[in-house]
Amino acid sequence: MENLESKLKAQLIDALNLEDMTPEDIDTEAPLFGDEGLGLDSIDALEIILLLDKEYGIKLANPAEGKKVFYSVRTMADYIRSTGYEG
Amino acid sequence: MASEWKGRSRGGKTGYMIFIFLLRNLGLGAAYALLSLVSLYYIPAAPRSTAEIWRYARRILHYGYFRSAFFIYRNYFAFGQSIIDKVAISSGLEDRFRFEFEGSDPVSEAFRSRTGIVTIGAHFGNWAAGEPFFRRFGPSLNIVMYDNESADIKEVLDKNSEYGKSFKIIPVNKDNIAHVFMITEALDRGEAVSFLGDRYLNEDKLLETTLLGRNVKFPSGPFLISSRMKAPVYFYFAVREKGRCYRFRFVKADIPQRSKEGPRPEQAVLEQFASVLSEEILRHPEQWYNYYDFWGFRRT
Repeated sequence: MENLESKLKAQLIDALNLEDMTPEDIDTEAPLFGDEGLGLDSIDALEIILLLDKEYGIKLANPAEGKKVFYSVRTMADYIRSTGYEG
Repeated sequence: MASEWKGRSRGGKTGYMIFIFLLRNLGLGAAYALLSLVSLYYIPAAPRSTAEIWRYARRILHYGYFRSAFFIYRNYFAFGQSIIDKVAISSGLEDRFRFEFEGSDPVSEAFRSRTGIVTIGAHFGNWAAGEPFFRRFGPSLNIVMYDNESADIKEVLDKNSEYGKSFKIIPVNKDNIAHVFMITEALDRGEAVSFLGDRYLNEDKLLETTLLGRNVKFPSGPFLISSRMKAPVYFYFAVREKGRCYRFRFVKADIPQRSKEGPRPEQAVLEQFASVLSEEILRHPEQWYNYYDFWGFRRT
């Protein structure tokens, strides 16, 4: 089950141009946004919304739900699995 | 001193209330007449803004001393007039103005067919004067605005006019990502999303291009979102011309495909935006209302 998390990390690095990072540098449980963890911002959020749509066919539009889903790589992966993804 | 915009525009709640009072009690012409005195008052009363207008006139427009001094007055007057007109138009005095349109047919079609559209304007001219145009299509326009500017001004306008009834505001907070979901959701519903692409709060995400001969910084958000969403993108400017006429101009942006060799799409959109904005500023330089260090003269 850890596969999806690793795949997501690689996709995030690519989509967000985090060129100096490797998937191992991203803590699966750490917050993606804000001052802690990866420190992403709203522009990065847009790229992640587009990434989920393109790669997993998921359209996230509800801000409250989005905030929970985008908390960490783990919460994103759990949400993707909850939609029936089996990759 | 930091050079970025602080999230508030000149002419706050009190300014709006004064203009609404003048308009209601003395009429449009009388409101302009009294505005001519208020504009004079602002020159010493708002020294930082006055200094910014002076620098803009001297170093961007290359005006002489006397012309620059008079230009400060003209600029304050034009700004006050834009507020009076905005309130007048949304208070049933729409027929006191003429409206001319350039390039609006595809924009109307996008609104009618609900296919989603992005517009990018600036704190230049009077974008809000276009409310009668947008009102025809129902409440399908979403204006992306900074949070602390929208709240108190909206309160005054809500109480005193129909202004804002035809559009929704998506409040932006640099520490929050909720607005990004609201923007994508609105476009997915086939609605319009409108940005003012010339101000930023977040200094970490900026793009640069040349505007009127000077390298200036713009927020990356509007241009990145525009270039990444599938909706068509239009630059939108509304300027006041002689004879109480508002001219609305819509120019379609050309969004290039992402490639490793070419310029980034958001940079390409910004450069097109700056080109159209330059044309409009040169036609009506007095309708430029950025009263902070937009041009970066005070940056070290």
